[in-house]
Amino acid sequence: MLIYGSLRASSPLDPRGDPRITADNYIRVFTDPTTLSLLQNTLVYAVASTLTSLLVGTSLAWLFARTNVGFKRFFEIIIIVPIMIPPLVAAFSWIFLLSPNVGIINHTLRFVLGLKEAPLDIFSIWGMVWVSGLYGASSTFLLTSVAFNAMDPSLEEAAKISGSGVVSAAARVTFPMMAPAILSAAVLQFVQSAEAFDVPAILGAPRFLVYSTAIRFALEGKTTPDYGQATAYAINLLIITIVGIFIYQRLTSSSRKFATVTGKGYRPGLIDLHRWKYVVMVVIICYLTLTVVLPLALVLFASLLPYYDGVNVEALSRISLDRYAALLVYPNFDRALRNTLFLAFSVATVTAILSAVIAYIAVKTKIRGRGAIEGLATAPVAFPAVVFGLALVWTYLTFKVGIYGTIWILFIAYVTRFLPYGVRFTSSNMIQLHSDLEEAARTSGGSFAQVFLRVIFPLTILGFIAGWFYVFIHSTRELGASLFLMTHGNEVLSTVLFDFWSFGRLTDVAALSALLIFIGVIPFIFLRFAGRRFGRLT
Amino acid sequence: MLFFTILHLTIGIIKYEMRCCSSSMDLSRIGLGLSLLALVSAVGSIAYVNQTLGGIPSQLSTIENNQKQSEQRLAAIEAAQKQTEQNIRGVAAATGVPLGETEALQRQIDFRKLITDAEREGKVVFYALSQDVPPALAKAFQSKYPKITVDYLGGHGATLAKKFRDETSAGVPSADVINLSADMPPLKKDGLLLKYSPPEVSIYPSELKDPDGYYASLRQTLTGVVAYNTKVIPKDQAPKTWDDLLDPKWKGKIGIPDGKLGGGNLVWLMARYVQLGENEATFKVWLQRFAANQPRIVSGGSGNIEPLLVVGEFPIAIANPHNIEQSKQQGAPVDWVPSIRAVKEVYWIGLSKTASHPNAAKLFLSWALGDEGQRVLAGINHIPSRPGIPPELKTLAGEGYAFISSEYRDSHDAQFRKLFEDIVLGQK
Repeated sequence: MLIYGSLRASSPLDPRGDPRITADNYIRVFTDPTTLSLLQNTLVYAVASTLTSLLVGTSLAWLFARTNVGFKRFFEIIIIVPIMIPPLVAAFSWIFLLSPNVGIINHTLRFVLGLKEAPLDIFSIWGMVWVSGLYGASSTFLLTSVAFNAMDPSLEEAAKISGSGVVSAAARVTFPMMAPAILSAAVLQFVQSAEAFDVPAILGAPRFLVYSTAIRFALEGKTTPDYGQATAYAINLLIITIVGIFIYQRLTSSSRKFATVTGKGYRPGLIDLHRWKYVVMVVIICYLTLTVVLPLALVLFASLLPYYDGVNVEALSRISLDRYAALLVYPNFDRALRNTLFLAFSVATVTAILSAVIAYIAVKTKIRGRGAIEGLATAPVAFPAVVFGLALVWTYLTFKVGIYGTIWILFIAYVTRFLPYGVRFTSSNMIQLHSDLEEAARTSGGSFAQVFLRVIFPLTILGFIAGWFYVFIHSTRELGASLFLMTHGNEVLSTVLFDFWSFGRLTDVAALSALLIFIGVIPFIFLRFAGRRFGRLT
Repeated sequence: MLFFTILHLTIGIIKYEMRCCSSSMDLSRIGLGLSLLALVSAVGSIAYVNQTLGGIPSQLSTIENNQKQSEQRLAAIEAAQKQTEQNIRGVAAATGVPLGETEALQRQIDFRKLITDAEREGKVVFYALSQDVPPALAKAFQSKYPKITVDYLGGHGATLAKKFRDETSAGVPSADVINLSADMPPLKKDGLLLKYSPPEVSIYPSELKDPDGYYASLRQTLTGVVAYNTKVIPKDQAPKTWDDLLDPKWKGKIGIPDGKLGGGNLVWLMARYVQLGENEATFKVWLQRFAANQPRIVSGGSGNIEPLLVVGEFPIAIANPHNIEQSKQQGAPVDWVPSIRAVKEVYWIGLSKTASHPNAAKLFLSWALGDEGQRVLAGINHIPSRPGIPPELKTLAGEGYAFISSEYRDSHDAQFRKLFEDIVLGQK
């Protein structure tokens, strides 16, 4: 439908529109000189934020899984918080921290260093990379910490016995072994920042455009949406992401190399950092304060105010819970809350189960065409949410199956959209499983279902849970596709948030974000607890 | 859906294969199964594309049919109206009651019938380009007619109009009553609206209603005024005219919406252009000087500009007075300059041609354009359209605003977009 749309001269839904199939949109897109700069901007932005999030996310994951750093459970919760803050709100809270005129950090730096000009400017490519990189660091952490936890530490010990230090053991043994998980995270982050809209739109536009912002502007900027141009841009973006996924598949194709969970029993021993432990903890605390606690505190602070005019003493006198009370009486709020909760739970569960099966087929079986199944399940990741929503609207309005306008169209959209993420979570975990385990089970007469449920599933439960949680969180904040798919009756919290946003009601946005964070934290704490118990049992 | 069917099939086949060959793991049979699957999905996709392409002529004929049907209905209604008029004359002659009075009585009877029919429908769906208008109207309407629920959707510009278009042309339930600004005339042109002009509209001035009776103005709103942060700029030092904005002391201190997004983000410039007598040379000089002051271009709409104005990231901004008034009421340090007259925009209300609750829709529209509905709007700081109902905020009532019509906006969009890109964005 999307490719068809990009070839059409007008909207596919408009039957009176020009029905000709044409390559004009592509010619227009490829001959436009700005296309090259779009491509360049998108790549620079996506690569830089991927690197940032990998660097931060994996080192944190390694520290927490493999060393004896203290207060892990507490830190883990804090590290995860950024993915619960809607990106729109995250971008804005960083404006309040790093904008040249009112940014709190800029003010402090100017005061401490005695500078005249603000040293940092959030309205730049580096601001964009910073916000989306930190954001990605949390997902990377979530994805890789599963793999680090499931790793057989005997190899690391072997390296240490052969005389290498903690750092070189980590660099030369642990990290290479974690390659599938790290690459998974990299692909996810790359694709996500390539298609992300909010951060580039708020911090980069109009001077620094990437594909996703160009797509949205083609759709919204003109009195009649330029669907042709938008979809042609979207296909370009699709090509970029497919190349990324292809490279990933090539790199992890020999999955046996990475199988480190074997039938041999192992005892996860932790690396003792000795006196470095405290240094590392101070660094972690500083990092988390700066990147998580400050923006989060800002959101919570703003949610208590009638309006946000900076952090000052007078503001303290205006603190109240009015914004939260206003939320409760906001029309249709209860319906949106119910819809969001229902979608988050059902989508997360269905996606996690489907992706476990797909990951199993792709990683553990030798079925021909297994790559295609994984590829098919991964394809939706490449569609920018806006285009994806549009394609679904066209599809379901053309073939009337009666789900348009119901919660089920959102359900299908979310499952399709988040399946790739679920698959990444479970497959990177499954690659680690050595096949002797299931072969042993099978030779002892276990059926496919038995092997899957009793051997594979328990051993990959951590990946399953992390995937469930990731999808859960993303379902509570999905906006791009929801905006197109919702109509009266199937509103969700994220569209309510967008309503507040577009009418400038910043403190209501903050209160709703706080609620969304709360909705996300509860299952996380619960799951981490359950996950640990499961982990011990197996 | 196709995707899910394939997935389901795949899993089914694999499970089946696994069960039958778990002892020997006959891979070639699994391979066979998968190639079969590939074949099925290939055929499926071809069928899918064909259906898509084939669906269009049939849709076209459906729409033509619909049009024919509604034309027939319209003719029937007109005939019935003539009949009614004759009846009224007949009744007047028979009873000796004056014609005017009989007509008034007939209107009452019609209205009572409308209420019963509307209550039987029990529901009306309202799409509006606003966040506070639909809930306020819904609440007041429901308390008057408790048997009718108002279900609504607030949305934004092109998204809402697009939703309405897509839904109605696909024939899925959509809005019965719709309230839009510049997107309304195109809906009439494309035949998506129902002609309905209730008695309430008769006293509306001609510029606030469609001459053909398809829609009327629900409310008006001011946009593109100059707002400022009162903590940074005392009232007496705030700019008073458009030319005050050219003062170098405001360099880098004015926030403006991104004109590249077109639509509402350009109307303030159009207003300035109209004020300068539509003289392109004079306007360009002004815009160049304005651009030399390096305004801060904010992506998105007022949602992104206002929070930054309130916090003082820039002390002056082009904004929407309705939102500024709302923030002001909550105590935020912002105000706007009434002497810089910007744009008055009209928000039209009309009925959908394919309304599923036509009577409730008519009742809702008549009520909203009548005394009660209009007072509700005045109460939430909007500018009512009905003569005799002043806005509650005196500053909003001021005359002398440029009126940028929807047609003007459409026809000048490309020109202003280019001016904005060349002059304002081109400024480094």
